[in-house]
Amino acid sequence: MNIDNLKSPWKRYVLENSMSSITENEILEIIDQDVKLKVRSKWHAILTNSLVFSFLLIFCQGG
Amino acid sequence: MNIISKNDFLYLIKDNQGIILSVCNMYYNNSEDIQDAKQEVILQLWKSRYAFKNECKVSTWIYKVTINTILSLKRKERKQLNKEPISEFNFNRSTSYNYFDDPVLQLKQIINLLKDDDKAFVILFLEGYSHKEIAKILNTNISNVSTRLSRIRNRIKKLYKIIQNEY
Repeated sequence: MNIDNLKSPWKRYVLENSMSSITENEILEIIDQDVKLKVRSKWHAILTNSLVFSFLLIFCQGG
Repeated sequence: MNIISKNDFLYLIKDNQGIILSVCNMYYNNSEDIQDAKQEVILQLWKSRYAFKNECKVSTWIYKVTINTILSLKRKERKQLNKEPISEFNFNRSTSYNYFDDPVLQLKQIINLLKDDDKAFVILFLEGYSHKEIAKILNTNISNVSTRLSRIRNRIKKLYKIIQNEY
């Protein structure tokens, strides 16, 4: 079996797979997941920073 | 295409879904795993859209992100399961279909028997990429690609003989 003989079945396979469809909604849902995650991590960072800042302000003043 | 908008991205995925699905199907057999891998690939493509420059074709970029995402998923799975990649003796004979009748099925069965890393080399070779391009896509050097592909050729010959004897 020569590996080159698999080239044309591969082309056919990719073509067959391009017929089945990934819907727009499916793609948008995945993209939105990323946006939501980014927003969540942004809020998480703000909250963590505020807590650290408050702690420093309350307990670590003076010299 | 410097900045890929949401609409451009939708068209880009639709135009190249054959690549994404073919690669996912080569690495996973279970429809749930294929779905998960497909979602992860689309997510990674979306995240890395700013990194795409016109230095290469869109399809090359899609292959690069798809293969590298799946390889990293596979590495994570292996760590979790502490499991070795599919061995050549793990051949699935459950189908009553004679795979010699269908070249696509034959292709799938043969690639299925290769190690995860080797699959990536074969897929890119079958797509017609040069050794230099494969090296660039898989972040390796040209001599490694030549060596790996030559080993894979021999392995495929061996596997083909094993499968022939099985049937």
